[in-house]
Amino acid sequence: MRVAKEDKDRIRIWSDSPADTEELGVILGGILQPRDLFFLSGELGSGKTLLVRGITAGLYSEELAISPTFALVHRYAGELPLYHLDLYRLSSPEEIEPLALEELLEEEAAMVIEWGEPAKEALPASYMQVEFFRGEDENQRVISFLPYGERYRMINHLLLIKLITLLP
Amino acid sequence: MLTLGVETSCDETAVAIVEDGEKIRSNIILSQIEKHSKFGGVVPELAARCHLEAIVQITEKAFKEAGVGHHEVNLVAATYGPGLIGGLLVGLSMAKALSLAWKIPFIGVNHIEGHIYANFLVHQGLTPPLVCLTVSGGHTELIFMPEHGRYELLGRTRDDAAGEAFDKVARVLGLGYPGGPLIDQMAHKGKARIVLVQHDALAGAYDFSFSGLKTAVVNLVHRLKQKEEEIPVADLAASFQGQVVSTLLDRAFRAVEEKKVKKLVLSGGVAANSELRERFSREAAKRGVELFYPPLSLCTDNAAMIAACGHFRFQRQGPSPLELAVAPRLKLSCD
Repeated sequence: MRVAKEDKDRIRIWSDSPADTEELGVILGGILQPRDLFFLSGELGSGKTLLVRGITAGLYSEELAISPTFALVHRYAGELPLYHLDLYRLSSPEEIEPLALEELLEEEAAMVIEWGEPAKEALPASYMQVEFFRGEDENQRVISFLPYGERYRMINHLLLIKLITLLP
Repeated sequence: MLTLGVETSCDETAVAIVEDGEKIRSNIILSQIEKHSKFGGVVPELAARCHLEAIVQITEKAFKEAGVGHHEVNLVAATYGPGLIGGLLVGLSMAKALSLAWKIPFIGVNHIEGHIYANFLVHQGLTPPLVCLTVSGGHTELIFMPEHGRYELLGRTRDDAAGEAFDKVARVLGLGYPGGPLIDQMAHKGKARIVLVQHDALAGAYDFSFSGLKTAVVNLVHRLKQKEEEIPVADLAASFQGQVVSTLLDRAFRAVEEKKVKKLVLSGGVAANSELRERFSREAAKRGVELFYPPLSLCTDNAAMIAACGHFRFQRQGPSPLELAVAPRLKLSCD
């Protein structure tokens, strides 16, 4: 795993394996606070759910994050509860409305949304956009953290420091 | 004793009438698959609306086909989880309303337990102890059932459900939805010659993982596209399916051996897969294990299995309270 700071407070992480992606999630889990909101985007098999599995481990949750494609919303208990959503099967804001996402966010919990584009209208304008790209190697993923808002610039700052200290 | 069963947890609106938990008097299923196929999967709000529009009509049809009147039913059973919240609410609310109106007891049924009971409908005389493998779009569970109503969860998926992996791989291969039958058909035309995953990372455990296999297909398709080479869709379908079945086979038969039982039961939509049936049958014959699986019509979601399960639960523990709430993430209680 390797990390670099880019322009506009964006950071970019090179994950060399699924284990790296999960480890990144564990580190991120240790930084999260109530009402933090993350959108994850990237093609099937790029590691989104794996990152969330790491996050729950980082929150000392005893539950194992699994794909919420079928159930849409999972809630994991832990030091900080985590909502894990997957809107892969939804397409319009009208289909999102009944999920009452704003209400979930009022709770003392963090939220991670996969395939969340149609939900953005209904949610706060400040969030972290995490994008997963293919790297050069078949198992490599380039994961980009783009912050919208002060809190998320702070998360990137903390994440950068943690990664630099932890990485060999 | 007649039980009315109601199932609305995903994309089938289903109502059935079952006698004594074993004899199907009627089993009506309205599938919404066509309505959802253009979206590449079930759309929950659309599903809830369709359930609401169809349920009364389907219920009337179930009575008509069974040739019984409303007053003849003794128990009403409905799925209360796991599943999609909107759909569950429609079925559960109707079941409670009927219970009140007709003054008959109501019981909530766990959908996963229902799938296990699909087998008791067709295999008269089937009794626990047994090992059950439930594989569908939302579930992948390996369960030990020492006696009626008691379960030990041995293994489950750590990422994607088996059926979900079929759906997603079908999409990547451009086959469409639902992925299970489409990959099954395509696999017949291909050879399982491509090694997608070298090692079973969970070898020796009972848990499953299908996400790595899915990613391997995605990676390979991506690489071939970049090189502008042809994608061997049929061979990939056969290889993917073969590896899913190998994983399921390994876990299921190890459980049978460890739990020292002689009966293995399959349930859920993926149990309809032809390669799975063929290889499980062969392995069972080799090991002297009795293999049970429901007919195709009872593998996928249906209400007869809910009625059967409700009947047996009611015999043991009586009715559920009318306050019983829907539980979208309900687990099989392993008491």
